[in-house]
Amino acid sequence: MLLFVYNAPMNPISLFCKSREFKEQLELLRPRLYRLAFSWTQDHAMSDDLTQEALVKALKNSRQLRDSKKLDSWTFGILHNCYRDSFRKQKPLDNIDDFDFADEHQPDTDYEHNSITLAVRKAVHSLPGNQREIVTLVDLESFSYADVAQILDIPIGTVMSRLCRARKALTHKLLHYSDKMEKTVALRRIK
Amino acid sequence: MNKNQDFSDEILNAFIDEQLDHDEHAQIISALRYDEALTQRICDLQKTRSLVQLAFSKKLVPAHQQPVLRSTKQRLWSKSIAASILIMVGVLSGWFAHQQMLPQNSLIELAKTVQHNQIINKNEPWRVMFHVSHNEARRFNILLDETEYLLAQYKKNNKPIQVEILTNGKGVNLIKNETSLQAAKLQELKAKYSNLVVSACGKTLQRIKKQTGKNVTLLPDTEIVRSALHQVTQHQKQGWTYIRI
Repeated sequence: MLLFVYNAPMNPISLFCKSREFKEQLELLRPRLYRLAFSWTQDHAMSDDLTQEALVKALKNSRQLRDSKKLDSWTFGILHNCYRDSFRKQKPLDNIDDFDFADEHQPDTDYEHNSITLAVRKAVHSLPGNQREIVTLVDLESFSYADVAQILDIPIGTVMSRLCRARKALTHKLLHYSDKMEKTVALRRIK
Repeated sequence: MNKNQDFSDEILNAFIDEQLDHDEHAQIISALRYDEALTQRICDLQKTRSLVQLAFSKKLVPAHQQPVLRSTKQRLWSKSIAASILIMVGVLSGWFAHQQMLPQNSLIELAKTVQHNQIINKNEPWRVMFHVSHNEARRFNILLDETEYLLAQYKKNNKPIQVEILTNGKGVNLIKNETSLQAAKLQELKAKYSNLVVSACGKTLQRIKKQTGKNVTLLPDTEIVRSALHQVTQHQKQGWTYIRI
């Protein structure tokens, strides 16, 4: 009896997903994924976990990648799904460190209040989740609106309107912050 | 002529994000020539975008680099081991993330914040003192990295600056010639920047000599001051920015 064994030819994308290059490219995405996760969660440990989970899932589901040029947006989409899953599992918790106490005028807390970086991070964190995700994908990762629509699986018009609302809210919050700072400095000078 | 109202916020956002086609883009560029209100709206949007980019700079990296990803073939037989590793990695990353309390360049930001609260004579160099009273190598390494960055930035911008690293107590161990692993880095910095001074508390050195019967050998050119407390108070009177590490 003659047996014919047919080995189906592997397409280029399948070969790419099995290659060392694919794994290296995934690993190179780690700092970017981490930064974005941090902009969503404001938590170093959670961002580390989300990044690792997204990379493991990307490796596991590499066959789902249709176009090697879309590796970035595909992986960021996985990160977004991981974030959403973790968000669903978690009960909302208020971090005690986020509360302001009346007598907290210590040098370190004053420094925190004066730091633009922390003020902006706080403003970004205060945005609704769906706006925060869009503004960070566009501003930090420079994804096109079409890519963001694909990553978040929403229409491009929604991306534009949510981005618009997010930037408007941020501008409002940060201008208010600047005004407050200027007033504080002026009072100190009068004293 | 004011056509500011012709452009929606969505369109202006798309403009700064370079998402418009050529004609729409050209239309806004053309309007910017005579429409100041439009220019202001675009500036505000760009400022907001820049602030977000600044707040999450590219220097924000994972506190703990995890192992290189494993191949899918290995996954089948080592599933349980991988799960255990993942749990450990999660625990470790949480631990390291908590250890990594200071974000990069936070020290310089802190120093600048303190500087703004002081009366500064613009003709004089900015003088900043870092006080180290512990022997934690990790924190000292961060200090050295950030000091190097600070000195390099000021040199690059031709701005005068004077930096002093003052050690006392356990901090003296970090600048001991024979024991300090940071000695090479510190020596390299001192050779490169003449405006960096390393000093040690005389009282601490006397105490160590009394306890051990031996003189402490410090890095060459280390200045020995009367006492750390005296040095700090004197420098603060002279307008130095004081940061305790």
